[in-house]
This record gives sequence, structure tokens and C-alpha cells, in this order.
Amino acid sequence: MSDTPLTLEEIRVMAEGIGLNELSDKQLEQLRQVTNIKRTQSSSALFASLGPADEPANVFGLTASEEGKQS
Amino acid sequence: MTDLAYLSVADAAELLRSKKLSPVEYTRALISRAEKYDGRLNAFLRLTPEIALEDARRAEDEILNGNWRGPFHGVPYALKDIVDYEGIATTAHSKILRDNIAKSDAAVTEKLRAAGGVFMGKLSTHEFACGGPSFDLPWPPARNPWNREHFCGGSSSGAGAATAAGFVPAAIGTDTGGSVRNPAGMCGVVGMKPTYGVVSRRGVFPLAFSLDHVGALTRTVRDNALLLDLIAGHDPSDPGSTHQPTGGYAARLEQDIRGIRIGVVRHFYTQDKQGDEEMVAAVEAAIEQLASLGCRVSEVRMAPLDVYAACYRNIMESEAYAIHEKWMQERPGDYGELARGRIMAGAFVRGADYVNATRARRQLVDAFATVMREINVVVTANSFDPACRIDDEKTLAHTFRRQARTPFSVTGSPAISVPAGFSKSGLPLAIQIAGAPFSEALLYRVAYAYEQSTAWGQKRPALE
Repeated sequence: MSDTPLTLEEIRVMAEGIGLNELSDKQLEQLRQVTNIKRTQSSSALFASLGPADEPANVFGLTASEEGKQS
Repeated sequence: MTDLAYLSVADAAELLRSKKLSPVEYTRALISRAEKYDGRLNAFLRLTPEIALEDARRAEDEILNGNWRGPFHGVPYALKDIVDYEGIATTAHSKILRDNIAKSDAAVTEKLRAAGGVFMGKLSTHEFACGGPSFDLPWPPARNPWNREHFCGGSSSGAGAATAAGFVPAAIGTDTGGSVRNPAGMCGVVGMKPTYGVVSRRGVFPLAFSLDHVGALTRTVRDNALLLDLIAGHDPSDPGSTHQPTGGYAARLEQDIRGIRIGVVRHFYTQDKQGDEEMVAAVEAAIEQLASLGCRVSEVRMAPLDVYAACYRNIMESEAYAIHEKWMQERPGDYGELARGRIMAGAFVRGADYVNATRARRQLVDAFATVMREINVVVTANSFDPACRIDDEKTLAHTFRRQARTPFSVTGSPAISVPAGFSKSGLPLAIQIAGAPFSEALLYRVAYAYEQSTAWGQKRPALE
């Protein structure tokens, strides 16, 4: 989270860093706007109660194959 | 003969089974209606009358020969255009996939075809199930049958519009953050997002793997239960598919609901955000109606909407961007502006934020389970406003976040939108009934009892 909005040049460098090289100036401006909005959206209330042992929701459970059951 | 356009699946099934209605006659009536009116609504991206009539003729032959397959035999249906039908393009309403011919059927399509359903075509969606009503795509957006100048909800926009308009009695939609329940509420039909994993996602273009659900839109609760009976069940080719038993939903519809404990989550629409006056009044009236039917009503609290929204955003945007990254690098100009903006929002989400959101998600799931120990079902609002004008970008953006669907997307639990009245301007209002994982049968029972005690579902939009 940051209070300082990114400039168009800053977002251009960031975009190129992740392979977004084909964006027009208008699309870069759109990326700048959505990224700046995201930087102002706080997730701190969401993450405040997480302790080190809190597991993600998408940790999967494996099931044994027939071979696994027999071993 | 009953008005074929508004025949329910259950009533159609009985007429078809008893040979009082010909599948061909039924299908021709709905094709004619769609051809006559859909130019004003854009519910269909592609109407497939040749396939529909071929399916109908086959159904007719089989039924006349005594081989009735079940309640969807000879009944028309349509698919949101992110669901594969072999040999037909799955476009996701996007230039990116304009020529993407499906190589095989989605799991839900296989089930509908095996049940003898009549395929009417592919339905409009928000681009890649995440844009909005956009005018910069190869096809126009679907419009609301109750007032075509208004938004019909989304992203299963065509599914809501086609069902409400009487083009099909049942449609398949998908729901990642509310995309079945939103159009259901705004179009005045019934929409169920089942528990995560109850319906296979195989052959459905993903938006966010851990949040995607396939669901049904119908005009009645019974039809919705019949359709979920058909499409639910384990699929080994969907890694998220459940091993829990499914089905038996329609069979249990009429069981008594007296004594069922309803927890009203009022803070969603009165404190976290203030719902529109008419919408709040409709939700409160529905709660009183359920109490009058013998339910025990109390108020419960869940986490604030903003907490669910933050969790959802981090997960959805990260997973969606991962899916779209290659196209975003190579063909960014082929997206519509709305979808591009929503997908781009995931470009710089930190890995730690994504992981922490999934950790918070587990806490929210556990907290909801604690709430559900004291009650049987939750009742709350669906959207907080009636549908706004489709060309009012500012209000669309404002109302997009004013809803209580996200909590049940995050928890992966079932939630159903049920019609609950009309605004003074004639637009549908709705309630949302949600519950613990795999409690679909109970949600349908409560929804059915409520529906049967009101007349909201009997009103029809004027399409002329």
C-alpha cells in the first residue's frame, strides 16, 4: 500500500519488467490507474489476524491411488 | 395450451412425457420467440435453431417410442458462452476467442445432451466473465427484459435475460463473484451458485480457479433444483470436484420448513453499506414472510463486506491475471476496456498478498462455519440496488460493488437468488438465501416455500 501514485514512466518500466511491451499509451494509462487504485486498497484488516501457522484455504489433500493403498 | 414461452421445466416435462406436447412444437415456439425479440435484448450470441430442431426431433422420436429420459428430455436450454459445446465456438464474448471452436463438450453440456435437452445456443456474457456491459466488443451486451434500457446483471447476462424473456426455461451460467446470482436478481429469475465443486468446471473457460462455480438460472425454484439434480456430481477430470454425495434436491422441495432457523445478515445492507430503500424493504418483507411460514428468525453477524471484498479481490485478480497474462502481453488491444482493466488489476499483486488472502479465506470459511452452528440458513440481500441504466457508466461502476454475494463466493458455500418483488419503476428485486457447504437441498426448500407464498414469479416482462 502506498500513498504515492505511480507516474506513467514508472508504470511503463514496471510493465516492461513483466513482459507487457505491447500496451498503447492509453492502455498503459489504464494499467497505471488500476495499479494506483490497488495500491490504495488496504488488506491490513484482512491479514491482521493471521498467525504463522495459519494455512491457506487451497492446500490440497491427496488421495491414495490403488497402488498407494496397497503399499 | 399453456403459453409455451413461460412453461416451466417441470410442467413441460409432464406434457412431453405424456405426449400432450411435441418437443418440435415446443422448440419451434421458443425459436420463433427468440428470433422475434432477441434483436432487442441480445441474450444470444449465437442462436442454433438447426441443432435445436434436430435435438427436438430426436427427442420426439424417442418419447413416442416410449423412451422418455427424464425431465429435460425435449426441453430447450442454452449455455453461457464460456461453456463448451462441441463444434461450436466458445468465444467468452471476446475478440480473443472469436474463432475458438470447442473440441468437446463441457461436463455440464454432456449431461444436458445425455438427458435429451434441446440446445438453443450460446448466451451473452461479460467478456471472459469479468468485464461488464461493454459496447466495444464484437457483439453487443445483453439487456434487461423488464426494461431494455437497463442492465441485466452479469456476468451470466444472457442467461438471465433469456430465461426472463421466455426464450428458454433453463440456462447454464457461472458464478465466480456472483455472476449467476446478479443476473438472476436483476432479471427476476432464480439463480443458484452451488457449493464449490458440486458441478464440474471441465470445459468451462476459467476466470479464477479457486472461485469458479457453475450454476443454473431458471424461472422457478423447482426447475432450478431439477437442473442441479442433473448437472451435480463428482467428475474426476475436475480437480476441484467434490466427492460428497449430491442430488435429491427436487425430491425434497416440499418438506416442511417450520422451525428452520434463519439468520438474517442485516449489517451487510444497513451498516457495511446502505441498500436502496426499495431493495431493503423487499428483503425485510421477505424475512417477515419466512417468519410467517414458521421459520425462526434471528439476526447474525458475519465479517464485514469489505473484508470479504479484499480477500476476493486479491485471489480473483491474481488467478485471472495468471490465466490471461500471455494474451495481455501479446494482444492487449483485443480486450474490451472493462475486462482489460479488471484483469490488469492483477498484474502487480504481490505473491505474499495472494497467499495471505488464501490464508484469510480459510479463517473466513471457519468463521462462517461457526455462525452456521446456531442457524440453518442465512437470508440477506443480493444486489443493494435495482438494475441501473445500461449506458450509465458511473452508476454501473458504483453499484458493481454494492452487493452481498462476495461473502459466499469466498466461503464457497451455496447461495441462491430468489425474486422478492419489483421496484416502483418495474424492475425486479431479490433476496439471497445461503447456507453451509452442501446444504443446497435446504436452501431450495426455503426458497420454494417462499416462492410458493408469493406471486412474484408469475409476473412477465412485456417485450413488445
